[in-house]
Amino acid sequence: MSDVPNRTSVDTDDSWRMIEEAVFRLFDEIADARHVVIGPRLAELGWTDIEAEYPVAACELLFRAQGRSLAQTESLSRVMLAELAALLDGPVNAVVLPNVADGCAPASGAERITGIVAGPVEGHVVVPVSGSAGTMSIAVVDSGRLRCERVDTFDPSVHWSTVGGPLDGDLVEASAEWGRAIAAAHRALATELIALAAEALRIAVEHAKVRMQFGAPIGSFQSPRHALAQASADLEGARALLDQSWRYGGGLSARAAKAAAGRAHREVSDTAMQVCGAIGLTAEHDLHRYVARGLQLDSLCGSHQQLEAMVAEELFEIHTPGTPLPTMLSAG
Amino acid sequence: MSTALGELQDEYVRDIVLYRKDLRHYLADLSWAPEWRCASFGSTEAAMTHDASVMARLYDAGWNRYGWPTQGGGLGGNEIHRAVFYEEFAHAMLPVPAQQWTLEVLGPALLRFAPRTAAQYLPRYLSGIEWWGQGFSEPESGSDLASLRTRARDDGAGGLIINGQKIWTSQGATATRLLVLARTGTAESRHRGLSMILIDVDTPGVTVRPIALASGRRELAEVFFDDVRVPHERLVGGLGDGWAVTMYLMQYERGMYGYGALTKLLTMLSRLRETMAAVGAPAADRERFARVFISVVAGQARSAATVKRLAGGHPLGPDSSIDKLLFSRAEQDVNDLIFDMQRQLMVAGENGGSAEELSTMRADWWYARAATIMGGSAEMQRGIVADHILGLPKENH
Repeated sequence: MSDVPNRTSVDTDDSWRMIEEAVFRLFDEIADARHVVIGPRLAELGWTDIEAEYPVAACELLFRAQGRSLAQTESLSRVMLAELAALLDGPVNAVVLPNVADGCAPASGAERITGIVAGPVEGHVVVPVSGSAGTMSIAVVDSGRLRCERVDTFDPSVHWSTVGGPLDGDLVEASAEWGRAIAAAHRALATELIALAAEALRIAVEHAKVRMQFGAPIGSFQSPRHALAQASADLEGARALLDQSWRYGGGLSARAAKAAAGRAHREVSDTAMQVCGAIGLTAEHDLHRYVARGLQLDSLCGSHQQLEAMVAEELFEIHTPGTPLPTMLSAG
Repeated sequence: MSTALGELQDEYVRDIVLYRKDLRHYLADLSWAPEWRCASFGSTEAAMTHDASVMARLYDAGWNRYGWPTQGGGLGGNEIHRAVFYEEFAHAMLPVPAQQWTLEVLGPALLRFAPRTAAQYLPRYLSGIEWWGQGFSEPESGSDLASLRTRARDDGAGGLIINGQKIWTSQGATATRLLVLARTGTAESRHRGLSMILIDVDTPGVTVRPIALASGRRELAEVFFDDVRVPHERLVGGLGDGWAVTMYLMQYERGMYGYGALTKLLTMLSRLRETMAAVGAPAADRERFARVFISVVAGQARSAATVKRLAGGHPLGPDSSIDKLLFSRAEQDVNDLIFDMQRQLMVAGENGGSAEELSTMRADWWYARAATIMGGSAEMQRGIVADHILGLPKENH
């Protein structure tokens, strides 16, 4: 996949810049709406062609735009369904994601469905079902037959639904496809988390420049300067790992990238909330929106703690003496 | 595949994948790799002597010469070759000879600003015959490097006379040459009045005093210059160019040294994993291991992008301070993890191997504490990020 254009290599591409601006505009327009199906609007932009020309960068852009605008769309389902497409024969609206307590391991069994849909539930949904020895199958279910309830989310602007009910669709073996779908979700969510953290950092830096205390902007005092600089470094480390994950793919790399992004979002949020002081905790200030959204998304498909625990299991499970840790990336 | 010399040379330069593949085979098939992997020594001097012999063997086989230009004793290629060299050492879980680290920091500046001197001495560096120290810090000039006071005066007869003192020189106790930043302008000239000079340690007037760290190892040295005369040809860059040379050198310290240091951490983590797996470490410890592993890989991802920029000939700016913050903290995180996971060994010498092994582990932990101090402290790096990346107002003293 190393020839696929990535964010860094398209940075200097003028037509890409126009696409980026158009997508940012599009997401800004829907930022205040609850949950918007963005597919038709992307189609108007000629998204199929854009995706064909910039397969990785286009996908990354969706979630970067979503994070910075705080919009909510079906984009996550969209990228996951793209990985499952070969197994689906009718239209599907959403993917049933694992419950928060279950990390990125779906808890639906052969008879019972349980999970979360990010957004309102409509039409048909794909249900992943865990089998024995780590195998996965999927079934397509009419959501009209499911019990759906709006989740009481930490970020009150987020619309998630819990879904439950009997499983009556046919199960299709999908171990490899689901693995790719969840990795795509991890990269997508990590991208959104990084974008949210970048906004939180930007807000805190702006605040530090203008907030005067002791006759000087607080950004001229060493303590907030260093806290913001360290937060920025942590964010850039997570961003670099994510860039590598977009470029080279792979499940372990995607899990590590989302864990790093979730942790970086938390660290940046902590710093930003401290630097902004009491005003940053108020409803009228913008900071809380980027903090809360990130905490919400960090919990989807495995929080950073859950993913770290998973990575730990993998590192110690696959271990045979005398072998190095798995190679995650290369400069060459 | 035993050597990287001869007819394949051009192909290795052109084809990084082939270079990696054959280097991997070389390291995997090496008859002396097991003893190399386990070699540990009771003193820095003994470790350096051993590592020099490894340099010689790698040089003879050609592998550590890729990424360095032929006029400096290399076989061609660029920074990517050097990064792949370190990656493959991590893959083979082999220690990188310590001379490589100072070479990464000092070599590129020599090649760029003193090509004739580089042609003369870098082949000796690559082959382990000699290694050098970096003479920047002084007792009164640590983070405030531009205040340094070691003076170099033109003697009007083609020479420079150096007087002053340097300190905290890594590998300084065994180095045979020193790259010294000295003041050639007025006392008030700050960074404008500096020049870079390569000084042989055996020049009359040079006194090297090793400094033992808390581990007991003489990892560092201080150096005294008492009317030391060197010819003008030993200037690296022109008179007054010292700061520009320093900034050029720093790119490699942040980029290449950083990348190498991160791959070394991967080797250390691979080894720690063996120990932890063998004793059945509890979940909490394994999770901490994973967390540290991810932060090392994040630093590596950042540094990999930096290596590519260097290889593409793009100068690094202040954002390389972010690389430095990431890799220096990763170094401490890994060494702290090793300490905590092998606490019985570290504090009581129990359950371990030889005395030399234990001494090396303890020395590594102490040396890792220097990671956020040397080469510009973490505080300096955060200040650079605050000023130049975040655009915060200048610090209020």
